[in-house]
Amino acid sequence: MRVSTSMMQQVAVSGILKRQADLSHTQQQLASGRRILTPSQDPAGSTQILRFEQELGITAQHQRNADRALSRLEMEEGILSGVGNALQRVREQAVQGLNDSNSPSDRTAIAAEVRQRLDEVLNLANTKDGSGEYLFAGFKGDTKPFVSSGLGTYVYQGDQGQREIQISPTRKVPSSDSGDALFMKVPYSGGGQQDIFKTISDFATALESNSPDGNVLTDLDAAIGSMLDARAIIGSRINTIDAQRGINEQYSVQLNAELSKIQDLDYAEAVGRMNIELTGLQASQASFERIQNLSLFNYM
Amino acid sequence: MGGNILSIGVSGMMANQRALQTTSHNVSNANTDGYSRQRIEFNTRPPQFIGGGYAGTGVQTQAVERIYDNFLNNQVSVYNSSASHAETYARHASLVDELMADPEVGMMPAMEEYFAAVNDVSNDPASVPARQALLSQMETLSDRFNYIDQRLTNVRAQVNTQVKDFISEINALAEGIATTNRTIVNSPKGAGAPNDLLDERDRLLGLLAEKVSVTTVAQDDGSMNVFVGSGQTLVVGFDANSLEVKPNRFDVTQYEVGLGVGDGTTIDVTRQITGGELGGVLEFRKDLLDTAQNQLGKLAMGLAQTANTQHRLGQDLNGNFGRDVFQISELEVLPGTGVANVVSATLDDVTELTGSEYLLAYDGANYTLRREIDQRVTNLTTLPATVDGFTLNIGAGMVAGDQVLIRPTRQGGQDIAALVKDPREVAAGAPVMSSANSSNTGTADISAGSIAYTSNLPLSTAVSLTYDAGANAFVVGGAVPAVSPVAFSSGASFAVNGMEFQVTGVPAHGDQFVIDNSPNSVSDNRNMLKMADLQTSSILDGGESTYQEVYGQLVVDVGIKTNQAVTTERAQSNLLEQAQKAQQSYSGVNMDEEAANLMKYQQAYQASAQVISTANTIFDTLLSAMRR
Repeated sequence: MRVSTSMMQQVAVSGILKRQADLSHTQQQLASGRRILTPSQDPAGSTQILRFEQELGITAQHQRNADRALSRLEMEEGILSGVGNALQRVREQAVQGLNDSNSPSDRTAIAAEVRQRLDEVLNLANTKDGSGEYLFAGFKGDTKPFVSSGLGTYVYQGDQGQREIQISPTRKVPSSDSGDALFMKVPYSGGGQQDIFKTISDFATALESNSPDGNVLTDLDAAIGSMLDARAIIGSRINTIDAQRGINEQYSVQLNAELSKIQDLDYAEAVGRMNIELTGLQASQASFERIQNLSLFNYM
Repeated sequence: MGGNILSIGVSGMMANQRALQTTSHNVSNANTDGYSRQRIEFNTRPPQFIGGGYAGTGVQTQAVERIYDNFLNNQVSVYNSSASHAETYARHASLVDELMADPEVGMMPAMEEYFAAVNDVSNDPASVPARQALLSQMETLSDRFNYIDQRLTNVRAQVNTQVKDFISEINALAEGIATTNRTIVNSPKGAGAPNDLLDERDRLLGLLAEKVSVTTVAQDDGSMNVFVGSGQTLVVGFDANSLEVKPNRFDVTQYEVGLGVGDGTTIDVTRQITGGELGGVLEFRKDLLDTAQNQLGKLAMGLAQTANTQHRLGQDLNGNFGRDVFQISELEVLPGTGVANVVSATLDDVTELTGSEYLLAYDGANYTLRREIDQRVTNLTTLPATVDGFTLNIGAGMVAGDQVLIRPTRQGGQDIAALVKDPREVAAGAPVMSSANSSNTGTADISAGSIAYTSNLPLSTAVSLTYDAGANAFVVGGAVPAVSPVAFSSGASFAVNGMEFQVTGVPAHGDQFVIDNSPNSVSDNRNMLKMADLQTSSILDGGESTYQEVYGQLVVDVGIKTNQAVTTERAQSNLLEQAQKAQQSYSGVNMDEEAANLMKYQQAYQASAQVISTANTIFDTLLSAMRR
């Protein structure tokens, strides 16, 4: 078969250009570490990458949400523990105050201390979180939840809202508790429910009038018990979140592994390929140079 | 006798001189585009009868032949068209391909950051910085849609420029071919074929084939008629027809290809144009660019409308219902040239939009709506009518024969914009709040409630749900409009005037739950949780796809089309190269061959000169014999 001289050159040049294009592609892959540089190189893989990246993003968001929920719940737990301690202290004072060996002035002194504890409990119940929201006001975060409306009377100004936080695609956990249930609805020895503040305040008043009622111990025990119950519930939420965090973390690892399989370059393969391509390019350049020098005109 | 030899020698010299000339012509045109090598044909001169027999009289050139094969050249032309078609398509498709999944400028990062900001507000609804961050992510998201749409629009403008450029190049080539036709036909007859002119015409045809697919019909007079696309006449004899830039009959900003039909009018032949760069760029626009921009618009409108709907069910920090957070594009309706603008389209249900374009036609009695994506035809007896999530309205009647193009989502990406600027206007909470009466003795709890519609809100009085153990139902008090008792089933949802609740546990007779407006509920995140849920809900495409899936589909669609174009380009350019090799193998110049020919003819020329010298010697010998 005869070959035209210009075609010979053209074929050689287009071969060199093709090899250079392949080499440049491999070089880009090596530089970026990505197997797929544009979606067209693997359309199905590219959509999987988009999907995995979104999943990873959502999972990371759920981790952040879980962190937020944890910090809120831990704060809540700490405050309820403080309330429990204060109540315990009040109970000790109650035991002391109920002792008949106390003189009226002793009891007045104890009452003053009890009122200090009452203030402590009230302050704890009105705690704000890091962003300035009242922790126990339900959804009314900028409304002070517990206020006194006269001696021994307390009203709850929040609502029963309980905020939830999404910690997995299917799981929301409560990250707050309404103060209404925690502080206002404690079983009362006199029947029904009564708020903690009134129980303490009434006891202080009774001490001041030197006529403490032994039932206060039952009521304080109920209040301490309800704090413990609430803390147990919060503790179980914290456990749930911890467990979910573990699951999320594992899922992220799994997703990253899947993503890496699709997206990341196999360096060994790519370097090997680059060597072959380099050899090919050098060979075609060298052969081009040799062939170009061959001409019968050289001998004329 | 000596004179005869002399004449033979001269004929040999002349013939080989022509041959050397032809060889030199080959050598010098070895790199000329479209050049076919030429070969000289010798034959013997008529013999002379001398007494006992015929004596040879020398050589003569019969013709300078062009080594040319019509089939081989046609192959090159055909593959030239398809290779440049694929190359042009792939080059443009790659622009869109790279844009779509770019980790910096693609849609995915912007969507993810937007939803992260929604989540952050739901974690901390009272925080003004979190709300501010959400507002700026809404702007970033809108900007990203606008940006990608703008890039696609730029590609569209580039396509327009190219259509214009290709058309003028095609016209210039057509002129050139017509002129060459004339020169060929008018060249002296009987002197052999005008080889170089034929080559020149083939070269022009080759360039034309790069622009658009070409068919040729050779005429007896030597001229060549040329047809482009699927048979549109471009050159007949000495006359060149010209293609024209013709604005699209619906969208004048889009250039189409027109062809003059002689009486001063032009017809739109865009659909008939195939192959070549022009065919490639037109197919890219119709096949990939339009779809990409429509689908991007569908996503923008879908995301905007579903976010708006949810946001309107919430309550902001000022105690108002949420308002629209994103601006949504109007639906584009384009009446054809000269058609009255009587049809309008409005969005009905964004989740049903397909991203297709639609052609509405009226035949005097019925309307037909053709969905361009799959050519499905819907017959509409009357307007207004709702199809695929949008409603077609009509003012005055359409004239029979009129057509209107509807592009519901084309401008979605361009027009989306963030509307809320005040962080207090982010509606993170819900407008109502449920609570259990403190005197309840049962263990039942009521859910916080969700809002389906707000037309009965805010409540004029609190709504009470009082449990009647005998009827196992809640008597609803205070509802406007009134609501009949709701049967109780633990954990089951029930609706009261657009609000939905569940009661779980065991209520005691007389237990009461109260639903009331929820003012000042700055810590309420219920509506933001629902906004965040939209990220993973299958709501678009008729409840089939999440936002990410719609975008993923767009990316994969562009990716597959680009991939196909690149693969086709490779295959076609291989075929082209093979066709060129075959054609060049036959018609191309080989320098070694020419060098050998040079030597051969040079030797023959020298030998012929030697013959003359010999004849001279013979004559001298004769003369000297006579002299004695």
